[in-house]
Amino acid sequence: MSRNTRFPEPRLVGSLLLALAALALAPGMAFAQSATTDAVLLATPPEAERLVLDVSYFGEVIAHPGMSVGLDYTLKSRAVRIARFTEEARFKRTHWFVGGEAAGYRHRGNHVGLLLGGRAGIRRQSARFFLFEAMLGASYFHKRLDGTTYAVNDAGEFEEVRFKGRPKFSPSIAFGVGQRMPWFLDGALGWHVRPGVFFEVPFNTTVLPHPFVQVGINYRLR
Amino acid sequence: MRRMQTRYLQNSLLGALVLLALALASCGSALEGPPHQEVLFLRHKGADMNIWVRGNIESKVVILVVHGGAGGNSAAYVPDYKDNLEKDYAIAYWDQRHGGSAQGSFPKSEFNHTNAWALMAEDMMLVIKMLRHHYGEDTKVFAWGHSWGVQLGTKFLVDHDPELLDGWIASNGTHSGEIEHASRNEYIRTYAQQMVDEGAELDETVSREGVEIVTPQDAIDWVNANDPITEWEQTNVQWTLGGVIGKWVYSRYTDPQYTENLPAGTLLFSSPVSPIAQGINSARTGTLINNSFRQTSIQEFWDLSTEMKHITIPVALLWGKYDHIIPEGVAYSYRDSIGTAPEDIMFEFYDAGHSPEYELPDEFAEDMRAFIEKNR
Repeated sequence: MSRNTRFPEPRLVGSLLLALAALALAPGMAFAQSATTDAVLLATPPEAERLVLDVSYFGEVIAHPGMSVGLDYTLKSRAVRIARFTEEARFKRTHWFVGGEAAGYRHRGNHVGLLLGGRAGIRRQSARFFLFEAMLGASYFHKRLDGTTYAVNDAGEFEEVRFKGRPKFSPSIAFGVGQRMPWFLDGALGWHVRPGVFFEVPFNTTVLPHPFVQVGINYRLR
Repeated sequence: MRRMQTRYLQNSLLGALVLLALALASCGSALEGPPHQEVLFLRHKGADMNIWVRGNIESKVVILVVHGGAGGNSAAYVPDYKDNLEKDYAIAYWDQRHGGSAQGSFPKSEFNHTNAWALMAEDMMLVIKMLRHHYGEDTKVFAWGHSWGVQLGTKFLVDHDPELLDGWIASNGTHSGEIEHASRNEYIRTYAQQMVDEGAELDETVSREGVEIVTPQDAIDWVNANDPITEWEQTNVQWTLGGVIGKWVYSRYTDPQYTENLPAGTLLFSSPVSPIAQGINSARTGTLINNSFRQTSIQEFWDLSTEMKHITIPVALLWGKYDHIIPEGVAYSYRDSIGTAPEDIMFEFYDAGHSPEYELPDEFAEDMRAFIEKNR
């Protein structure tokens, strides 16, 4: 009998500790593995994105559901060699782009919003395929009331309003994070989460901010 | 690589599920449930005003909520009525022009402290007519005004045909800025004297407009030296002083059984309401028509008391007795200013402050129900 009969067997303790360590280190191990596996990709500058399509869930105030589609064209891109963690060559790439976007959503009982406009921004892809982006936009915003709407006509009678929309102007700003998925379609596919704010101009006698989030996928067409 | 792929897919899936849950929350919520619920809009002179109708429309009785402010919102009253009056009647939560979630587009020159009041009274007249147009001409329409809503509702009754309403219910709002000032002075004088008699002290020193009020006796002296109120600076001091005295009065005389508020995020994520619009509208309206510092308040230095005798419809004055904002003296003056026969006036005081419907919801709803049943 061991002197440590009151305690679990050391092998068991070691196994438990090892298992805990493995759980704790799992994300790091995954990165380490990816770094090795992707050495070839990382050792050369990532391919420049000429044309990127994105499709997203568009949630005005997160929960008012909609969809958006965007297409970005890269005006200029630049790859920079870095070596932060290993002596291997690593590259990050920055894209300056312009694009167009269409979005629509519904705030039930309040309004249906349609946005159509352009945007310009910067998107940086890290050596580990992470994406960071910032963009400014300007759109036509069509805001349509979501409910039976009445107005009084010239004869003083109530009439249901058929065209319940109002035209608005909408500047916007958004920041995004995401990642290209190098194991899939040669890294052409990525995902993104993009919070932002678009502004409704005019709103009564002033301006109304609409926070939103986009969650979706983007695909490098060229 | 496979582990990384799996982990990222798991994370992405988790994020997507959270967002999906939030999106689904917008389709069903704690606000579902009344037998009838719809949102109507009135488009008039640049404004798109939402009227959220909830409750029992089969009753053929609609209570139009004329909210406080100016620049407040009607959704704030949903918790007060959703578990009681909505079961018996339809409640029309109307957001006034540039208030609540109301939308639209109009120049600020058309919405200032000199022209907004009459315009909003015209809006109210149209909302009442629109409710009958939508739900049937045989629908009984009562209106309940709270605080600023009483000022607006009274303007409607003076400028338009009061008979459009089957009854008018007023709570802690005024028909005259001057009577309001006089009643508030009386409130301060009465309760400050009580504080002196009992040896009580003010919770805080009032320092406004170069005036410093430290003790209840100082408060009495200030009121005696500033009666009547004729200057904007006086209104600012009186307002702050009333709040300090009111705090003592509330703690002594009221025992509020507050309405339970809606779960956090309910209005933001799963209702027709836009709390962001409410905030923007409130701030903007406050600046344009409700700011006594800029001397642009629509709520000072006016008087409708001499124009109210043609109001003969049934009226209920349901009042928080200890309100320092619109004290009980205003209720007595309101009753004496209208032409309604005494038997058609319901006059009730509650051991409450400015918002009896929020502080004593059951008692308040019971009286409102009694008034409507008598006059429907």
